[in-house]
Amino acid sequence: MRFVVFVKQVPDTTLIEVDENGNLRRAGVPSILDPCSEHAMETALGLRSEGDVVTAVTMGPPQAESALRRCLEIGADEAFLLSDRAFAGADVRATARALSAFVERFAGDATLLLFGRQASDGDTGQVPAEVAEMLGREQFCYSTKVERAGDAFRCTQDYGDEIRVCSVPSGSVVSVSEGDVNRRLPSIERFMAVRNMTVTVLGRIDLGLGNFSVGMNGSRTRIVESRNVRSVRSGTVIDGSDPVGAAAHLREVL
Amino acid sequence: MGCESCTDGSCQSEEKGGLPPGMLQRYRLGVDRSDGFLVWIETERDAEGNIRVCDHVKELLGKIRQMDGGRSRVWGVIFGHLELKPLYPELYAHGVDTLYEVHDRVLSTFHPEAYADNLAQIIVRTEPAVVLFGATPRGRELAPRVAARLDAGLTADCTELALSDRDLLMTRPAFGGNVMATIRCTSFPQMATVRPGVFPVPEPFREGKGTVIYWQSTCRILKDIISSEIKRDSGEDITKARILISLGAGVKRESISVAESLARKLGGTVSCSRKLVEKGWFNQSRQVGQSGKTVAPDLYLAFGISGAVQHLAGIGLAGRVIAINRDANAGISEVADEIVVGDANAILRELERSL
Amino acid sequence: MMRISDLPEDSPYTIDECKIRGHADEVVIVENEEDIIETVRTSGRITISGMRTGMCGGSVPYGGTVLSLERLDRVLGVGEDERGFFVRVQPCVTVRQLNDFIRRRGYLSVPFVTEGAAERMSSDPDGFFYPVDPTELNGSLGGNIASNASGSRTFKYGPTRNWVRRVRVVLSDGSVLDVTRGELRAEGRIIRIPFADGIREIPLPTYDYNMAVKNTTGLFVEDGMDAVDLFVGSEGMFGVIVEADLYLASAHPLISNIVFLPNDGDAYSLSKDFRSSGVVPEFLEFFDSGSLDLIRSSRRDDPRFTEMPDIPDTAGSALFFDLPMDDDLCSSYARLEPLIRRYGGSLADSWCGHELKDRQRFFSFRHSVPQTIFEYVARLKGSSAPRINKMGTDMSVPLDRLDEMMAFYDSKIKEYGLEYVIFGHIGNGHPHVEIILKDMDDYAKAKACYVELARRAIELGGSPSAEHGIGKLKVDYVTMMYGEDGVEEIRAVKRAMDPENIFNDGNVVTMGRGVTE
Repeated sequence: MRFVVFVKQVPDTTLIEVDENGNLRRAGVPSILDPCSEHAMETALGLRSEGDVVTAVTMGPPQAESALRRCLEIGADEAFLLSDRAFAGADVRATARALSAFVERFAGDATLLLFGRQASDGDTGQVPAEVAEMLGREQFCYSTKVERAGDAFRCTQDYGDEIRVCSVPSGSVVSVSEGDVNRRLPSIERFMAVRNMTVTVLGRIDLGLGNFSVGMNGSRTRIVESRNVRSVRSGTVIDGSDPVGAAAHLREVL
Repeated sequence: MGCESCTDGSCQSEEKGGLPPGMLQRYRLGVDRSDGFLVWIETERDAEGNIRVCDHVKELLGKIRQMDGGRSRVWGVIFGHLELKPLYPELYAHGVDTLYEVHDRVLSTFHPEAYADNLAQIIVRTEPAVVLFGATPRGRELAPRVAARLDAGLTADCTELALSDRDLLMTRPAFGGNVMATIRCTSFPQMATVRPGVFPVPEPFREGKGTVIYWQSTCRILKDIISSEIKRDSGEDITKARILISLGAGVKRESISVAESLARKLGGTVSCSRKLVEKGWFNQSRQVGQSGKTVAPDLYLAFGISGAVQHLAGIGLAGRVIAINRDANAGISEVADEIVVGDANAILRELERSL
Repeated sequence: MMRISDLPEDSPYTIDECKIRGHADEVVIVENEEDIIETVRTSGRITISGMRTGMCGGSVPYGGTVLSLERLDRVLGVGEDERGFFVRVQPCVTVRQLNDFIRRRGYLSVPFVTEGAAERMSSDPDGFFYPVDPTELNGSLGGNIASNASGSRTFKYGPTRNWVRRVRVVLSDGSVLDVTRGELRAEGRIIRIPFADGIREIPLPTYDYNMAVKNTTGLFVEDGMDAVDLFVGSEGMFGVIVEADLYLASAHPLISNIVFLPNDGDAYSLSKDFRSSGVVPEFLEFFDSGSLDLIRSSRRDDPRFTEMPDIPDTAGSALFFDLPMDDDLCSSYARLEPLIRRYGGSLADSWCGHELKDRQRFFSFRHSVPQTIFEYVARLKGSSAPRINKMGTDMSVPLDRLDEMMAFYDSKIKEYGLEYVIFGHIGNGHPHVEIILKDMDDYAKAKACYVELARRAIELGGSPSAEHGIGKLKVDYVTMMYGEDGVEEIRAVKRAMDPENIFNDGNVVTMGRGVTE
């Protein structure tokens, strides 16, 4: 079996702060493997048994290789980086187009296509469903648990008001919304092994895509304006070192 | 001349009105005929098990009417069977002119592939300029599938919509709500999912009857559902609360019951930051923020919440924000009207006791 | 300047991390240097207060005025001299704040001290770091300087003292001394410090300050010592630090590692042989089986505790170390492998991580041991034993005497019928021994035991207080180490620098007023 995991590199959003003018301070914020992607990796690694292959894939700039290296470190068997200048500026549709082209050319045999529910840098989890549609596969979003059931799989989905368990046919797209926060760590042995592994870089031509299918050209949305909206509030500071006084103050507000 | 689709006469197709050879399907992008609005009518069961229209659907219909002034046609698409009948008048009253009912007992249950297939067919047939979904879990799962089928642009999680002629300007928060990006689609239909709760729920504005079209589903891709458990709604929806007592990493576990008791006394609801969901103290339905919910209470009391940008993204619509925190310079201070600097646990306990 | 009088019983200004409660007449929250000078001139007795994260009561007042520096929390600038780049900070900038400032590369947003430094720092591809890494990141840098704080990385980079370039201090007569390293040195054991009324000749103690081990016991002294060093580690006896320059080091990527081994002795032996491999880690930290069990049991209650994977069942001890992540990394690992194998471990039985987030997890794993004990003791304090305190040692001995010390820890603590865990800076000969207390009875035994342990550490050429300082809790150990004569010599320095005993009465040595707990 082959599990293909689509991951994303994101700036560590927990470290992003806003300066006085409402601008984002991105300098010095390290790039990391998105936590949701990590959950997807975790799921794939949990499903893997003897002889199975876990493939990590991302689309991004050359630097995104480090996210793939992290995937290899925690246990992926191979990694592909979809990277091309032409991919720049891709929206959901153009991203999904490139990813599904990858599946068609390089991973048509995949048993499951796994995604993180949504990336922490503002992506909203639309890519998995678009990929599923482009490939004509079934989709299972918001999965909290994926388990083997004989040759097929079974997943538990959490829709907020309903939890349902479905059987998952081979080849389906699954987006994973939960995972263990006790993230895996590689052993030194694994780390050294990964240093000698290569990440395969694939460009637009390798994926057999036309110039107008990818990147800005392949996108169906344009950002027309973006503005900082951090509202500056009055922000009165009140001394609350005395809980009784502070509670009395709050009571007045109420 | 056979083919009418191609205007330059280069096409050799003999079939009148058909597609050029090699083309499976065609959508008239940018052709002037696209007009009007189509909304997916999401339904839910209330506490008694009766079916009802989700509030966000009415919000969307209200927003459409406000933007367009009732000039264009509004389609609704609803999935289900006979149980839907009682909903018709309400939908009409809120602005649905023509309701497509995908009439199939099986589709009373959510099947994303079949839903998307039918929606796409109906959209091709009706050619709306704008297609809207609520940014609910199901809406977010469905919209991209439809968009991919139609090769349409999709903007997720919008918090504001505006109309310029037929062009829809969709605004959504990015980077944890610090940036508002306004986005336009480059083709028709223009698709968006819209966060529930960002527009007011309007009152019905008309009485009478609309048209219902029964649509036969042809899609046989159905999920093999082994079991389904409807979560007992605790009756507390943090997006609707007027007062939120919100807890963050700075509070101790013992304080949760104190907060709940305080919430009962104030008629409010308890919500939390991502940290506490990660700790397993709260269900995700209680989480405020970018990966949780956008809330709009009149009063937001943030106990021990440091205020990562993702969290702040969820409280932009709150009326009054009061932070109770050890650190006067924590991120939350940037949006708080008032910062009470002190021990959140002690103040919470004291406040609860004094009421 | 803000004054608070009528402090409540549980005021945060009269307690620190060792949870000893003092009392004060008033708190003065100063805004600038002038405020400090005014307070020094008008108040008879001042306890200097930063973030109050000390472990020995150094900032706990017993009467008088608390001079809180909490509003002096800005980074003032960056500069460069022959040695390298430095930052200029106010005393209440915390270690965390400084680290964040460096990580964000905020150099251009602050005024420059020397021209062009900010630009050069911003354009440096590798960036910088402040090498002193105390466990308590919320501690103020002023406090760090005053207590010569250290951390894991002291193993390679030394304590705070090595990184202080300049201090600006308000002295006991209200004059301001601004001194940069190299400007003012002692002649032999006499140092001349300019006061408002002229230069005072200060006689320095004649004892040998133990530099062979990590040490914060007593007043640092050496022949021809720098005036800056008089203030570093002085625990606020001589003045109020209002500004300081701290050097930064060039950053290099690091990888954190934890290697698991079967038994206590294995990790300990490996730590001793580590140097023979030729691999120089950033630090070397040890966990014994007790510490690992402590983490395991906390994880049973809360699986997310420490946010780390499960500790392998076979692990009976562990070593934690950082290595530079450079081209030599794999060869370093290769050199360590036979050693690790010799003691029953393997490179497969290990964790490593290099992303910032992962490295932080390693550190929280390390800190979870004292944290767990701290919380356990806090629970006891809240229920059955209100006067109990955590009993963790802070003793260092030379590396070649560590065997003896470890054996002594084991036999002595067991002799008292107590249980303990050992973890921490083994590479510096400075493991922390935490005695696990069950009741007040244990607490009394542990206190007696502690004294014996401290005496033994001194006998072995070590220090009874390696990094936590003396404060008010460990005053007796100064006498134990230097004798009454040594203590009297420290008092002489104090009398010359601060004749009216205005600053931090009771820290390091008692000056006669006496301290009542």
